[in-house]
Amino acid sequence: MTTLAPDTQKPDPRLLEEAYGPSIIEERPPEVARSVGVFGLFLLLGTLVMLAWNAIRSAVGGPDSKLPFFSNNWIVFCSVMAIALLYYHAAFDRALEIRRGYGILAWLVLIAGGLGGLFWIVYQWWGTVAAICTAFITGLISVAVTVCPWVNSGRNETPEEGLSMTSEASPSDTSVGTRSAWAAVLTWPGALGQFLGRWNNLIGTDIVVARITFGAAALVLLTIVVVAMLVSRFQWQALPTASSVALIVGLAFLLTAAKHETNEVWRLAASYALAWAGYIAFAVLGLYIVRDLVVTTDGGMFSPVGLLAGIFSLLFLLAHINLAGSDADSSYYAAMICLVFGALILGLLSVLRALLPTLAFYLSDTWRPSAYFIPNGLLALILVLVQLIVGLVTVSNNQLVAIVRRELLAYFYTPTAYLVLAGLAIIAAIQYLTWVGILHVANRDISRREVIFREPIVQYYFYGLLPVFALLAIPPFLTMRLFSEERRTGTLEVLLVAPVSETTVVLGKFFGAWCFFLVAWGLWFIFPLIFRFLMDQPFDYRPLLSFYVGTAFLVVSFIGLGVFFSAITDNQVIAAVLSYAGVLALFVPQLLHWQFTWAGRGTGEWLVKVVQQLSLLEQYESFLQGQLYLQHLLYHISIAVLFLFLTVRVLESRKWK
Amino acid sequence: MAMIEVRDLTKYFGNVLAVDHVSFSVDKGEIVGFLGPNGAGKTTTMRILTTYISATSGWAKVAGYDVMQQSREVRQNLGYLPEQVPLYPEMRVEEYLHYRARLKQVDRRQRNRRVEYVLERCRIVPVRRRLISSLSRGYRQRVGLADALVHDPPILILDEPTSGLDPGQQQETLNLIRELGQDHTVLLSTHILPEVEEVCQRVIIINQGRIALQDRLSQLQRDSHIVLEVKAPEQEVRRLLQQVEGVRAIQSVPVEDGADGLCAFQIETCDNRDLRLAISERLLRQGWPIRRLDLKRQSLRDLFIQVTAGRASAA
Repeated sequence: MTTLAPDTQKPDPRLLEEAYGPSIIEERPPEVARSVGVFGLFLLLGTLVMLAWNAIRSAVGGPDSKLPFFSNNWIVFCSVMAIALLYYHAAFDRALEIRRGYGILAWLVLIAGGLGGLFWIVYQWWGTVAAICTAFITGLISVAVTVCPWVNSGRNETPEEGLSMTSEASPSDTSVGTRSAWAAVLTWPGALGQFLGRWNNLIGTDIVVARITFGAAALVLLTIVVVAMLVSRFQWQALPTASSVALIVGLAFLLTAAKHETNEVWRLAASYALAWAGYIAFAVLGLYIVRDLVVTTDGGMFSPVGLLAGIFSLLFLLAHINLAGSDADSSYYAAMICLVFGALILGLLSVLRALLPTLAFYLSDTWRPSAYFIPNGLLALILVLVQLIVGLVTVSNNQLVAIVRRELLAYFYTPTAYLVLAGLAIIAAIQYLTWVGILHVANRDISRREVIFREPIVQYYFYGLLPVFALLAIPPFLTMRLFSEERRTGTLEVLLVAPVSETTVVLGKFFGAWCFFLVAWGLWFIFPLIFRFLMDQPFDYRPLLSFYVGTAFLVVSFIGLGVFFSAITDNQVIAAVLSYAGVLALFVPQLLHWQFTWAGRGTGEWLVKVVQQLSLLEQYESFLQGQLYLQHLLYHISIAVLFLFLTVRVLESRKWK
Repeated sequence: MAMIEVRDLTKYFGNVLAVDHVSFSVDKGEIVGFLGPNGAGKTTTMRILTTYISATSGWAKVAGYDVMQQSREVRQNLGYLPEQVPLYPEMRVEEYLHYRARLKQVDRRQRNRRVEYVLERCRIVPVRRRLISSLSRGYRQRVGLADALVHDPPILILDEPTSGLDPGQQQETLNLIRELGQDHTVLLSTHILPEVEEVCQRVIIINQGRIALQDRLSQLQRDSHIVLEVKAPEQEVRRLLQQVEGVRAIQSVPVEDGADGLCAFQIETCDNRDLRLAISERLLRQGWPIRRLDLKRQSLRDLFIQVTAGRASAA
């Protein structure tokens, strides 16, 4: 039978494989990903050796054996690097078996992390017995959930289908697999046996590859557990940290594996498991909110575990939305829950934040809500705000939102986002280390009082070459391709022939670039926060808020300029150069201001006053001092509005040229 | 009811006249072929209809909405496939279609269904998760078509939907267009003429910005003549033919690989009547052997070349 009817028959397995293949734009040989993976394995091995060495030293004892030989920093660094490299391999290997191997690993890590977290929470609330019972029950449930896709795939896939993982398994083998799967639901050892049996079917093709992958999986799992345990020296308090790490790693690996999965059952299983994990985390968050609001009204609002649960609920639900597609019903419900919950809690917290201190003042002499919910209440506010935005963006039918979403995602489709984020993280880290060094010196010499560091000390972090450079250099880099790329490839025509107005398109691109900038710029603020909350250094953090808001509006003018210049040319380089020139032009008042200062012109003259108000660095400094002047914000907003208006006219000009 | 109505449309690019007083209309449910040599103004006319650019003078209505005044409503009712099919290379097929559906304001509850429908309809289900940059030309064309269809517009404007496809893909695309023609109004530009003969009910030939010809395809193809090759003295045959009722003109043509004594004629008849039987009867009565007696319809290709070349030389 050689009838040719390509469209009525099943799709070509090879085509399907390729359709789900790794997200690479250019073809790379498989050796690249594999060598990266092997290097990751090597690092992981190194980490294990270091840990073992430390453990042996402390066990054997001897002079200063209390101090570990390899510092925790090295161990954490190596394990993080190892996981990152393995992740690269998991995402980019072309072989489906290997990607599935990583997927299974991700399931295991995720379950371990979830169990750990739940165990700890229940332990905190109701004690050991309840915790163990819960862990056992949830363990059974999660194993059942994990095994179900195997059971189903074992049933559904017949060897003829070709693209199935069990293509090499005989029918009898499949039925044995099904039975053992049901056994696995009942017992843990059964689960392990089932897993190993299925593994054998799964790999089938290349035993060497299979062994390497399996080894990698086991090692990663082991390392995560051991690193977490050792770093924390077996303290219960470390369980949330270990679980969080496991949850994040599991989430990342599972998401990648599921995105590139050809088998629909596996995909759905992963997708719904992520959704349910998100809902469970949501429930935990709700539990903590109830506890913090009702049971203990004095606390800093929201314990860290509640916050972590909130972050995880957001991440897991986002992963589900990503997998299921934002138009799916399940995504809609997830986003709706985020939206409603975010709005409710945001409103509630804002009201309470406003009312409680006043109430406390009038009603009681002793009861004081501690520090006005700072800092956890503030972080919670940010969290629910993000939840609200995520929900809104997913649910919304608005065209502007659609364009903003695409533009934001477009940064992540190409290496731009990763380059910018990595670059910013590195220079922020350099700046942070310098800053801590300065503070350390100042602290040491405090007796001599030679150097006086005045609050806000964050100004020494932000008032430097690197942050100013980052602030100026990044917006044109983000905006240069917005319109010029669409012009060059001709997609602008397709975009504008959709029933969407030019203003919406321009605003969408503008907000897309701005949102990405806000996220990237936010990296700078993580370091001072770490300094305050993790290292327990009480400094005045409030200027960070005004500075973030201020700089967010400062770049509005740069981005507006950039959008305009990218609309007038179809060459990205020209767009970037023109945007940099524009940014420099905005610096002219600053130069004039310096001139005036050097010339010693009086501060009373109106020109001097105006120039000072328009100087970017003066504004920058005032934001750092916690001063947020409306005229500064309006200045930048009006420049942006002007250029966005011009951009709309440029787009419309095709009609009257 | 006219879904597309164009009156005296004129477009200057600077001093260059691209479209010159073009008028035509397309009725509901019609598939109209929009033909013309390269640079004739097809794409410009289509771009005006899609509201991407605007005309210098004249007006056009799409689905009853003016392209200048009510461009949003026009775009809501129109699916457009540009010639080069520009797509975002970094997106995946499914993602792209979902994004476009959202942009074209397809309701959330409809969106999944519409996307599934167009994926199925344009036969791109197997590549739904592929990066667009990795697609072949044929698949990109189909993704573009799926995008044009995703908001279920009553009118489709397709600019050379088959250019750059292999013959198999061309046939598939044509079949799809014919299917779509059942519940959509389609304006289709191309310069591959057999395609037009296959799917279109009506053609508009545009040359140097002006409409050179527009008519129903059946009307255009009605013009026919009879070709005759017979072994006989030329004058006698001519005399005989003139006696046949309904013959309008007789023209001698050179004989292909002519044998001795063979002569050839091209006979035009009144009202394009088929006189082959009458002619053969008379010739056979004379005992002249006939090598060929054939009714030749005018092909679109001949017409196209005639119309466009004639205009070009006249100008």
